[in-house]
Amino acid sequence: MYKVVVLTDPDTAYGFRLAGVDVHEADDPAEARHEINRLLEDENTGILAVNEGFLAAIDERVRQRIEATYRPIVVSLPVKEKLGAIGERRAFLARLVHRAVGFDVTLRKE
Amino acid sequence: MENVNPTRSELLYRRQQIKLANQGMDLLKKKRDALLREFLPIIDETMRLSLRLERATADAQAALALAEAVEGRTVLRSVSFATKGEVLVDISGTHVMGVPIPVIKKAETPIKTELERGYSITGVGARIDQTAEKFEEIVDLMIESADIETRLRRLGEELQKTNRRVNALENTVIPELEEQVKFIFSSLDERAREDHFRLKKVKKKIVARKRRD
Repeated sequence: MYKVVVLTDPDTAYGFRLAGVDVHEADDPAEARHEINRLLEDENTGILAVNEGFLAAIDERVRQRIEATYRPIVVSLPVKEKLGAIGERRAFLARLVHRAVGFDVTLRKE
Repeated sequence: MENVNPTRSELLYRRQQIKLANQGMDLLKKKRDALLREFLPIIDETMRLSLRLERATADAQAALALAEAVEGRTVLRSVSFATKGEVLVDISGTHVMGVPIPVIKKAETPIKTELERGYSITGVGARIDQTAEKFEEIVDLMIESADIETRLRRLGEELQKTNRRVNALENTVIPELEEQVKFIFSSLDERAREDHFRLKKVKKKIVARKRRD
């Protein structure tokens, strides 16, 4: 049994607390990066969900670390913030597919 | 070509190797096709799930904003911290085409009844209950996403690895072996011609000596 952990902005954090998951807050991407590094260490975490805006801002080293880690599995949350970065989730998936098959696969809506 | 002995047994050995390499390549190509067949529907499903998650999140955020506006930040804050329970997932493993893939399942449903949420139902408005429900839905979708996305990633990695192997065999290993076979063949031919020539030369000498005698 592993925990589900959410890393999100303070506003959305209330909502996830209502859902009963473990919530960590970060005010900005820099803080989020720090938190991600810390949360990746936790053995008991099964899924780590992070705001897509935060994921968009992390550097290559952390990204590689996320991809190499077996557990927790990191998923991006399409939470909309003032910062923008809408559609990062799709870019994240496209990058995943691109790395996997070696060519770009267009992800269409229906 | 330096470390190839141009002998007949070596030739036979290389030919055997070419046969083996071709067999391996065919197998790997079949594996690649099968993996791709598994992979494509997963891309589709990932995309669909992603869209659902996007919609659910937008919904939930709207509900949250409304709850905050109606109930006030302080109430929302105290209620959210009063909420009990944690969401657990179960991670087990399976194999698809020999690729180990984690299967992520929600251990127990986070959708609790209103009474089990941990805050007083008479104390807070319906907006907060609705918000909680919406966010619980997000968590469910999130867990599903994690499952399918890992599957996508693992299968993709295997696909890439298989592809690389097929390419290595097709473009490097097999041509090299064929080159070596050609080299051995031509050296053997060359040697046969030399022998032939030498015999002729010897014969000429013998004939000349006989004539002298």
